[in-house]
Amino acid sequence: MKACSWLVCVMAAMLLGMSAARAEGAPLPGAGATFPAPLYTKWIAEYNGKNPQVKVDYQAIGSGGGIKAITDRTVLFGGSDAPMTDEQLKAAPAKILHVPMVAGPVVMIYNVKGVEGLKLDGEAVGKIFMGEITKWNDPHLVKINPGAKLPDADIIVAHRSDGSGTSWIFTNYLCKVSEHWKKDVGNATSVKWPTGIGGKGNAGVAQVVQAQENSIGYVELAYADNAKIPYAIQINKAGKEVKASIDGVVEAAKNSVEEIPADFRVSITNAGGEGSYPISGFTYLLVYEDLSYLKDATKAKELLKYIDWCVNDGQEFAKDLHYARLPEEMQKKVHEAIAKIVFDGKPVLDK
Amino acid sequence: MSATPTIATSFLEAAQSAKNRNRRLLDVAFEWFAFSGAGIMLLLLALLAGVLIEGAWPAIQKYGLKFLYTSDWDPVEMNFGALPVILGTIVTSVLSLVIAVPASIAVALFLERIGPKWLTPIVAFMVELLAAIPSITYGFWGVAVLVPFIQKVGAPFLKATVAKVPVIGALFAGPAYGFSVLASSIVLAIMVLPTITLVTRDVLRTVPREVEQGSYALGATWWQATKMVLIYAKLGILGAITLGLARAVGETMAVTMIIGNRNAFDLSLFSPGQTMASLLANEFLEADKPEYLQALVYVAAVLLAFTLVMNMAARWFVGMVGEQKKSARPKEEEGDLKSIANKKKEEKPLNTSYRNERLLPKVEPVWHSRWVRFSNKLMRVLCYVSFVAAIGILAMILGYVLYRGVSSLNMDFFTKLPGPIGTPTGMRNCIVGTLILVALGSCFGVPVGVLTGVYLSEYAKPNKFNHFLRLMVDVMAGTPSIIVGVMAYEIIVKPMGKPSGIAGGLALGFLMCPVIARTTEEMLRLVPRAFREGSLALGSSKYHTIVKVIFPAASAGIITGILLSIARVAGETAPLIFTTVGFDSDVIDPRERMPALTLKIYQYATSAEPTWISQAWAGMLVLVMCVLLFSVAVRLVTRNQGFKAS
Repeated sequence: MKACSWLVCVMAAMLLGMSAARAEGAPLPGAGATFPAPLYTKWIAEYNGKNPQVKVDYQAIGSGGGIKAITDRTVLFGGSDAPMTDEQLKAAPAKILHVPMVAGPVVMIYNVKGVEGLKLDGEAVGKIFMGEITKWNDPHLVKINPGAKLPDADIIVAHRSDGSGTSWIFTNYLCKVSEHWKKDVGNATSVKWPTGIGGKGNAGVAQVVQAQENSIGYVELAYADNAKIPYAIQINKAGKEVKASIDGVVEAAKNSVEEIPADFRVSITNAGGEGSYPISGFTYLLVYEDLSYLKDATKAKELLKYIDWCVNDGQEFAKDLHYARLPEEMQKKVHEAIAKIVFDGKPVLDK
Repeated sequence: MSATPTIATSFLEAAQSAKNRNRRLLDVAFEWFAFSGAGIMLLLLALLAGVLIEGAWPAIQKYGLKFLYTSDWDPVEMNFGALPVILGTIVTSVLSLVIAVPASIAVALFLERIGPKWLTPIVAFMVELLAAIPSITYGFWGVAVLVPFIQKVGAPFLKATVAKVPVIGALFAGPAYGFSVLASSIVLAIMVLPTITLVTRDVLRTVPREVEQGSYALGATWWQATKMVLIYAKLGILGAITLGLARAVGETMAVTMIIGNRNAFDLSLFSPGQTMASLLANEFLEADKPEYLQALVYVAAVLLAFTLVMNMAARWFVGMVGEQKKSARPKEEEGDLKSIANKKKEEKPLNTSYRNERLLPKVEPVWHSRWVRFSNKLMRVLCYVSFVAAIGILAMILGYVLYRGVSSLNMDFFTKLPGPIGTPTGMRNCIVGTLILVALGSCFGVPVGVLTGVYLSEYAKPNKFNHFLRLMVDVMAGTPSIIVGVMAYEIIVKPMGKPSGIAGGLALGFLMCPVIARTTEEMLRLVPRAFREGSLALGSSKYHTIVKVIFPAASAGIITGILLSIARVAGETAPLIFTTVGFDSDVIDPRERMPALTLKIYQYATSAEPTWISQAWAGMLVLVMCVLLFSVAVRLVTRNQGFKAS
């Protein structure tokens, strides 16, 4: 019976542990892209700190997961860097709004001993991921990297194993720079990769590249920066060498579209202009335009208050994490779009 | 005068018969109650199979058996063929067995026949503990140590030597990926080693002494005699190997973390690949179109079929050993009353007396050829080497966790919440979340498991149904945890419309059931028959006997089993990925998504971010230490209690 009392003790300790954790505030669960996750977690930490009545949460499970979750309504908001396709939008039970949050660059991270400031152009990236360039000392790479000590080693390609908006942005770029890629592989959140290893999430790709010598992969800039993994200088459409930066992304956004379409679904890869960074994109928060299905007006209101906060006050945190904030004009449009979201036929946000 | 006693007697009889009726009612009720536990188990297993087949049905209709031999896995074009993952599963698990089986047998031989007597129980206990170490621990160690080692040392070495041999060379061709089939096979080998070793050791114990003694009497060397033992025990060892295979096939997290997640099959062991389990872990959560999800559930069904067949085969093999033994030593097997514990006690001293050849009676030395003498020495040395290597590798893994964990662990880990990337934070909510999930699982798994155990031990007659029931309990124990996750997703997450703590807790409960059922049955069987007979002879009902006499006698053992199973499921990751998903604040409402220690560790461990990595190691240390200390403490506390010691 002594053992029984031990069991009771353990159970009591568990209960004590549970009650010790305070649990106030309505949960607002979200999930999706890993691309903006560093910024989203920062936002959530700030916002939850100031608004104890809610508990916003975001799980970085990949854009594919985010799109599925919002379609199945298992989350209140999804995250994706890939705009949903028309087919996907049709499959959803109601109309989904794409809310652009920030823009960011995708960088080519690499792990090659003794090589700094690697330069890559569209052709090189396309051929490497196609499995056509297989050695680091390939003539084409040597040609665009004069003076670099490129080793006679196999290139190890790292890509995403999950459905990913970062992959979407990257394959969108590859489709524009490589006919071969466009024909054989295409542009999607998950594709049939011709070669390479799969890593889970942006973090997973960074891990593969860090652990694996002579590898190359693509991640959002914040992931390369945090893990201190070197990334390549891209040669853009205008033939200029550009290092990934906020300015480069803003420039790309400016040069790729005259006017942002009403549903905000755009691609800004391989943009013209001298300063444009070629592999960049917006990241979207996905939310239903009619929140009546939540059957909870306060929840709907808290959710939109959070989203609106991200689009306005939250933007100031973007810069520290190397994301480009929304251009002012766009910010206004986004705010208007959010204001149109309804609950039981009435706009949720005041004013 | 004569009427009074008659009336008194009839009163007494009437009272007694009423009492008897009540007692009988209670007995029947209790039997049904115990049976309900077994019924729930069977129902769950049927549900598992049913849900998988139902979920996969459209895909089964669409692809049929073609699914199993086409190799195109294309979620863009919606074309699915599972050949690469099936091959990946087979290659990794078979390769892991090629590595693990000789080592396991050598270690088992060392424990039973070579090593000093005092070492055996200690090592056996350690090996049991190692089986409780969470899968993500092996995965994380693989990423941190094995993958770079293979790429920097292993691959260049193999490429310079074996790769030049024709035919075999093809296995080592191509770029040297560290995240590879080879890496995951090695990690799997380390993971199945304890399983195979323990079962082999048990099998070796059942080999009659005559086999070995006879060989020695004919002048055999140690190795020649041992060969006879191994040949005698071949079916049992085959069973052990099959069990190991079943575990390797269903292993998810460690493989997912190091196999490189590529849905294509390549002959080269250096190339990345994918197994059925890792495919599910990677893609289940994001299958956005129904056909995609159906194809994945089809994969889960195939995986379940694989493990079902292997678990049944393993049981059959081990069962054959019993048959064989019966025919070999008919006399000793008949003693039904003899408890297992007593038998062990009896056999041990005899067994150990000829652990060393030099203790054998001196006889005229038999002349052996040089080769025989050499192979004898070689095999003994190999046993020593395998033992030292196995213990060394396992100690290295634990040491590495300890080293990385201690340097990253601080108070913040227990008091803070996960936060933005790059800032040092904690996992307070995850620890609480894991406790809640385990508590939820126990609420479900403990009663069902214990009742099933009671039914199997006390009520089950040796008929076909109960044979089937026992088989199903074993099969359920061998179900890969990722499949249980798929089931919980289909039957709880889908109808509820969102992932929740309940779904995760039930998945854990499902995993606990068969383990608890088996320990309960074993422990109740250890209670001598005299207890039952004595109690019944004193006029107690069967219900009374079980609840008041047998159960208390076995309680220490049963509680040990329960607590050990709790420790084990606390380290589970795979069934939680799509059922509880995670949450970064304090959540105690099980209807919401829930944080769990293992989920957070998995997320942080698959990254390159330094603060995340160190947090993951801290979490790993806490998890592993909890599981290990818990197991050790439970053993120590309950060792000298209850029936076992009396």
